Amino acid sequence: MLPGATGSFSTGLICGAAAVAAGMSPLASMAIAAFGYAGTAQLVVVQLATTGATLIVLSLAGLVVNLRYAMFSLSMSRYLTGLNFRQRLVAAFFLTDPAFALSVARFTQHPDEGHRYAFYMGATLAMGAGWFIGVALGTALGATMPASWQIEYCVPLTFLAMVVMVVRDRPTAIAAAVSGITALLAVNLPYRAGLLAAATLGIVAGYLAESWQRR
Amino acid sequence: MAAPLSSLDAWILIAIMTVVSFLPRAVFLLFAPDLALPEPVKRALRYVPAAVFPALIMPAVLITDGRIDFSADNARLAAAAVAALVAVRRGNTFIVVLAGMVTLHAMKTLHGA
Repeated sequence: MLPGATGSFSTGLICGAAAVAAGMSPLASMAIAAFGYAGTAQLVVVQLATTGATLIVLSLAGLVVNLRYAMFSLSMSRYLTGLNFRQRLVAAFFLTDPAFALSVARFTQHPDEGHRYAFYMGATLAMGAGWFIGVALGTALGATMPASWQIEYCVPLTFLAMVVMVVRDRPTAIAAAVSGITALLAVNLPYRAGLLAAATLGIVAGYLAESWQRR
Repeated sequence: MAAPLSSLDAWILIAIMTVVSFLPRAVFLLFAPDLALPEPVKRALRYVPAAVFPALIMPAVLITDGRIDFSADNARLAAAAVAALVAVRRGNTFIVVLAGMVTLHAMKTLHGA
């Protein structure tokens, strides 16, 4: 569980610092981390808000970044059976990438695991602790850093690290290239609508590339 | 280019993040455990991360005052190039960000900015 927690810690560090750099108060920075509980989407939404995106564009962008949780939610609902409403509510709210990855690995290797909900909550608590410590530290440090440090540039650099991790084959590479070029060409569209255009075209391009590859 | 958020903006963002994070997580676990996603939708979802991040990265790296900026004065470009190299070799997000930020400031110092 340690890799999950340290990953969440460093994401939290960047998220806290970026929120303060964007002009959020320390309280708001902690609140968005607690209620949203989603690092990547938070970075996207906060960054878009500082560059003049409308509420609709940044809501859609946040939703798109979080779409993977719908897939995790589907998968977890198959494993975590027999829970009451309150337990399902808690499981849904705290669904994260590391908690999902750890739980799926465990439940596949040990199909007879009798305490699935407890295992899942243990995984999510370990990573949640890393996340909140990271956010608190990032918020505290971010508030003391002068603007000339351009700490907000950590955000696109974080995305860069992520895109390198997710581009694994030709269709994902094509999706990434189409998206990046479209975003540059459409950068002067109002309300940052170019982001949605770029993401949509990227998804379509990846999908088509995969279809052609299969023939 | 970047305008600081007001405290009202911040609380609106918190509300938005709460909703857009909870809904996808709850859709199957809480609301519809028996709903099945059509196969094409599952395939399309696979391309979401690869299609979202470059759209956020490219303008942040290359756009200066509304124009594409490939000039040597653009310290963000050099920073991103170094970060990309580190990402391809190591994959650790924290090291990638650190390498990029160090390059950014090295370039700015070099250009006397």
